[in-house]
Amino acid sequence: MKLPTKILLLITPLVVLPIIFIGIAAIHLIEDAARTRADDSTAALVQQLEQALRDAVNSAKANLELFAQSDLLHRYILTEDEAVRYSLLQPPLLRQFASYRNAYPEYYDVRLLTVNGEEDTRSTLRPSSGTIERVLADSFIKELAKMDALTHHRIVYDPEFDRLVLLAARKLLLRDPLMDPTILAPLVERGYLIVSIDLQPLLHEISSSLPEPVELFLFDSEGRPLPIAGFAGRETVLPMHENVKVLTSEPHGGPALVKDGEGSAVVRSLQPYDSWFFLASYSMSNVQAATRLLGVQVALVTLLVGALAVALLYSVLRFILVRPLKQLALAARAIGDGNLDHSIDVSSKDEVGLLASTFREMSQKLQESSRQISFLAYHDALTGLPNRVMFREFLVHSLAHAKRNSERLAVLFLDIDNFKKVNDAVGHPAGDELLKRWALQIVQCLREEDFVSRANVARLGGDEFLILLNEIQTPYDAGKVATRISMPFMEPVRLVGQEFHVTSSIGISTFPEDGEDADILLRNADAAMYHAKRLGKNGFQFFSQGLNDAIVERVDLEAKLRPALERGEFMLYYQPQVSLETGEILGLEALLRWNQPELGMISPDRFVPLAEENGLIVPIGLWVLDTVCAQIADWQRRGLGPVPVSFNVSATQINGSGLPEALESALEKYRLSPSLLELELTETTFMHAQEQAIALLAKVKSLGVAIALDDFGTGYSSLSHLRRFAIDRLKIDRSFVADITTDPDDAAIVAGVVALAHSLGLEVIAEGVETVAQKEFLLQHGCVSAQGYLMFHPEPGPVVERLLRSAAPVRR
Amino acid sequence: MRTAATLIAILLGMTCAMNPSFAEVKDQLVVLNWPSYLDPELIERFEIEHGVTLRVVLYEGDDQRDEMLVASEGAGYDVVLVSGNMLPVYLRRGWLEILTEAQVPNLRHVAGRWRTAFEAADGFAAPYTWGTLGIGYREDLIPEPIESWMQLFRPVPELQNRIAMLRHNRDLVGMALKALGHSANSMDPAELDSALALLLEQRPHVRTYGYIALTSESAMVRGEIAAAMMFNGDALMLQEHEPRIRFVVPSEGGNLWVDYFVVMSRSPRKELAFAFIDFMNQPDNAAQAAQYVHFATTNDAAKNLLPEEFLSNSVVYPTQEVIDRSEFSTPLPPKIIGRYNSIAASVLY
Repeated sequence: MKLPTKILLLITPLVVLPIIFIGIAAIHLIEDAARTRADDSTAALVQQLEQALRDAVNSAKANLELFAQSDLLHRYILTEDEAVRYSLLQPPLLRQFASYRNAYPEYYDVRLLTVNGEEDTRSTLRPSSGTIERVLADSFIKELAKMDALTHHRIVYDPEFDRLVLLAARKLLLRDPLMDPTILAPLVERGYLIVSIDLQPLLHEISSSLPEPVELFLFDSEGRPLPIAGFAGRETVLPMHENVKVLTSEPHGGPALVKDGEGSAVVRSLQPYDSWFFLASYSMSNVQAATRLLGVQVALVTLLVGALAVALLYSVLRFILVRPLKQLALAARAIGDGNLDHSIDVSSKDEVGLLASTFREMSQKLQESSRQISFLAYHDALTGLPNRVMFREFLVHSLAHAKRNSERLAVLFLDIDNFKKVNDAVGHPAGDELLKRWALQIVQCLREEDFVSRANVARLGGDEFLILLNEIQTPYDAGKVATRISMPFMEPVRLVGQEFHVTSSIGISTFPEDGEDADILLRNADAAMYHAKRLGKNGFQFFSQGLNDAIVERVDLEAKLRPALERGEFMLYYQPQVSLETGEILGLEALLRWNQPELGMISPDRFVPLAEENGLIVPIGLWVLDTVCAQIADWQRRGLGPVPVSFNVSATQINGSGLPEALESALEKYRLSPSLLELELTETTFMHAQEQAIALLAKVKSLGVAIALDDFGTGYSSLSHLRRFAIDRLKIDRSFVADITTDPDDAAIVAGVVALAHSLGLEVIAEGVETVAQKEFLLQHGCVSAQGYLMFHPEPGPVVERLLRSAAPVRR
Repeated sequence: MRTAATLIAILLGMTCAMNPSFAEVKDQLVVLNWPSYLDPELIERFEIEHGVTLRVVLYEGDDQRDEMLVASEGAGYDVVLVSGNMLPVYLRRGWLEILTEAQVPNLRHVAGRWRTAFEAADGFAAPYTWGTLGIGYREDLIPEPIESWMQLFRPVPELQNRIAMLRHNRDLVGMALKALGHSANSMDPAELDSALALLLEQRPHVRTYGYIALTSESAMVRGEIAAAMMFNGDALMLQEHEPRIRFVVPSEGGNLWVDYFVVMSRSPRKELAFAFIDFMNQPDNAAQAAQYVHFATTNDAAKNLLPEEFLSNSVVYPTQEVIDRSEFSTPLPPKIIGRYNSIAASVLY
C-alpha cells in the first residue's frame, strides 16, 4: 500500500515530532526549573547560613556585653588580693558563668582570661579541645589584643569533637574604683571574657529543615568532608579537587554543577574563614531521575501516540483514500477493458467523491461514445444502415445458425448501376439522397416479403448494398427478393429536377450451395454481381450457374404464368376413369394443362407448385371449376352425360379460398347436380389442413360434392384423417400400382388399401394402371375402378367427347 | 484653718503609724548562720535580755555564705558564722571587725589554741564549735556500714541517687582527694585531676549537692538520702529524729574544722554583735549551745559544764586516731584554690 505509506511517512513525523519536541522542551524546562531552583535553594541556604552565623555572632557579642557588665565579674577582676579573689569571689563567679551556660546551652565554655591571655576562671561543660585551645592561645587572643574593637570572634572547626565552634571574646575594660567619683579613672584592659559556642544546634536546625534535594556539607580547604557530630548528612564523595580551588577562591563560591557519586548537584560554597567552608548542595539526581522518567514517559507516549496515529491514519486513509482510489483504479481498468457498466461504489462528499462522480460521468460518456462508435463502427452514417463490419458479423452468426438448423440463407450484393454518373450529374447531396431512398426502398421491400423471415440490409459504401436473407426455403426465393427489390426502381427517379432511370445489379450467393464461409459467400455474391453487370446490368445473377439457369427459368416461367390465365393458355384434359370389369367410363379426371406459346405444353407438376406459391392457383382453380362445370353442362346439353368429373384442389384452395361458395355458385350457374363434381385432394393437402379446412370440406360435402383422397399412400395421412375428412373415395397412387406384380409389399399394400376402403365403405380407384397384369391383380383384389394408360390417356375435351359418345356413361 | 491643721496632723499621724520605722522598733541583730546551729532558746533569752530581736539568716553551706557576703560585700549582716579557713580571706576582704577580749570578754573562756587555729582567728573571730566532716548514713538503708569515702564516691546500688554531697569546693575536692588516699589539701595536679575524675564518676549517683535539713523533715529522716557528706554533730541532731542514722569519719580521714563568730566590719550594731557573741560565750550558754547542736564546744568553761555522756560521745569528741587521719583545710595558693574551684565547678555545674 504505497499511498498510505507515503502519507503516513509524512504525517507520522508531523504527529510524533511535536510530541517529542514538547517532551524535550518539557525536560529542558524541568531541568532549567530544577537548576533555577537549585541555584535559588543553594543561595537561600547560603544566605540562611550566613545570617544564622551572623546572628550567632551578634548574639554572642550581645551576651558577652551583658556578661561583662556583671558586678561580680567587676569585683572579681578588681580584687587584687588573689587569695580573696580565688577563695571568695571565684566560686560565685563560676556559678555565674555556669548560669550563663545554663541559659545558653550552646555556650559550653565561658572563661575569663587575664590580660596576658592566661586562663583565670573557666566554666566549661566538657573537656577542652586541643584545637580550640591552640587557636585561642596562638592567635585569637593576640588578634583581639591588637584590635581596637572590643569584641572579636572566629568560627573554628574542632576535629576532636566534630563541631564548629564560635569563639567570641570581649575585652574587659574597667576603671579602678577610686574614692573620688569626680575623677573618672581610665579604662584599663583587665582581661578577656570568652565564650565558646557550639554551632551544632544551629547547623542542625538549618540542616534538618532542608528540603529533600538540598544538603549542607562542611569541607576543609582541601575538599575533605568535615564531620559534624549529630549532623545528619550523607557520606558524600565529592571529587572536588579542581573545583575546590574554584569554589574556595572567594567567600561565596558557585553556583557550580559538580558530579558526585550519585549524579550531579548544584553547589555553592560559603567560606567565612580560610580553613573550611560550607557547601550548600542541591542534588540534581532526583531531577535527573524525574527527567529520565519523563523522558521515558514521553518516549512511551510518543510511541503510543505514534502507533495509534499510524494505525488510525492508516485505517482512515485506507477508508477515505485508498479504497476509493483502488475502486476507481478498478473502474478505470474496467472502462479501459471496455466494461462500462462497472459500478463505482464511491460516494463520499469530498474530492474523492468528486473524482468518483467524474469517473462515472466519464464512464457514461465513454459508454455513450462507445455506443456511438459502436454504432458508427457498425452502421453507415448516411443511411443508418449497418455497415459491412456489422453485416459480416451478422452473416457469420447467421451462418452458424443456418448450419445448426440446416437452413438456407442467401447474400445479395446490390450495386446501383451508373451511380457515379448520376452523382456527377446531380451532385453529392442529391446522390446521397438517392442512396438514402434506395436504402429505404430496400428495407421496405424486405419488410413486405412475408416468406423471408429475417432479412438484413447493410450499406457497403458508395453505391453498394448487402442484403442477408435468412431461412429462405429455396434459392429461388432469393431471386424473387432480388426482383422485388429492383421493382420500385423500374420507374424513373426524379432528382434535382431531372429524371434518372436507375437500375441495380444484384449478385446472389447462397448457403450451402455457394459456400459455408461468410467471406466466401460475400466474395461469391460480389462476383455474381459483376456477372450481372457484365450481362447487361439491371438484373440479378446467382453465383452458381445451375442455380442461375434454374432460377432464371423459373422466374421466366412464373412471369409467363401470371398472364397465362388471362391469355387462356390453360386447358383441361380429361382422363376417363373406367370400370375394370366392364370397361365403362365411370367418370373423368380433369387435368390442367398449360399451353405456353413459347415453351409449349407445360405439365402441371411444373407450374402448379409455382401457382400455389404465388397464389395464382386460386384464380386458376376457379377457372378449372368453372371450365369443368361448363364442360359438364355442355355435354349434358348435347346429350352426353351426365358425366361426373373430378378435379384436383390444392391446399391453398382448401385453406381459405372460399371454395364452397365457389362450388355452390358454379353449380348454380350451370345448374348441375353436385354429384357430378368430385374434388381430389392429396394426402399432403390433408396433412396441412387446418380447422377451417375441415369445416370447408364439411361444407363441400354438405353441398353434395364428393371428395377423393388422391395419391393415397404417398403422404402422411392417418386413418383418422379418413374419418374426419369424410372421404368418399381413395385413389391408390400409381407408384404402388406400378409394382404390384413385382413387389409383394406394394401388392400387399394395394390389397390392403382396397380392403380397407371396402371395409370403411369407401370407393377405391387405382391410378396409373398400365398393364393387364396390374388390372388382373386389381380385379382379384376387388378394385374395380382404375384409370391409366392401359385404358385411356388424358385427352382434350373434344376427344373425350367422342369417347363419351361411343361409351355409355355409367351411373356411379 | 484649724480643720486643716487637724487634718494634717491626722494624716501625719497615720503616715507615722504606717511607717514602721517610726514605731518603737527594737534593734535587730542579723546573724548569718547555718540552719539549726543556734539554740532557739538562747536566741530568745538574748532577745529578752537585750530587748532586741535576732534575725538569723541561713546559708546552706560555706560557699553560699561566701557568696552572700560577696554579693553585699559584707553588708547587711552583723554576726556571721564562718569556718576558720575563710577567716584570712574575710579579713583581707576587710569584712572583719576587730574582735578581742576587749569586745567580747567571755572570750577568755575559749582555749587559746582555738583562738589561733587559723590565721586571722586571733583578734577577729570568736570560736564557736569544732568538729569533723564525715559521712552520715542510714544504717538500715544500706547493706554494709560505711567505713570508707569510696563507699560514698563509688556507691553500691542501694546508695545510688540517695547521696547528698556538700556544696563546698574545698570539702568536695578535699574528700575526694582523701578518698583517693591523698591529702585534702593536695596541690598535685595529677591528684587533683584524679579527684575531679572521681567526683565526676560519682556525680550520676548524687541526688543533691547541698546540705540536708536537720529537722524531722530531713530527707535522711525520710529515707530519700541514705548517706551524706555531713558534719558530725549534724548526724547526732538527726539521730534524734531517726535513731538509725550513724556517723563515721571514714578510714581515709575526714575534715577538721572550727567555726567562728565574727562581727562584720560594716555592721551598724557592732556593740550588739559583740554582746551576742559574748552572750554565746557565757559558759552555761556555750554548754547549752553545744548540746543543742551536738558539737564540741570551744569554750573550755562550757566544757566543764557538759555532761559526761556528751563528752564521751566519740562522734562529738572524736578519737585522736580520727583526728590524726583527718585534716584541717589549710590555705592554698590562689591558683590552686582556683583549681579546686574549677574542679568543684565542673562537678557542680
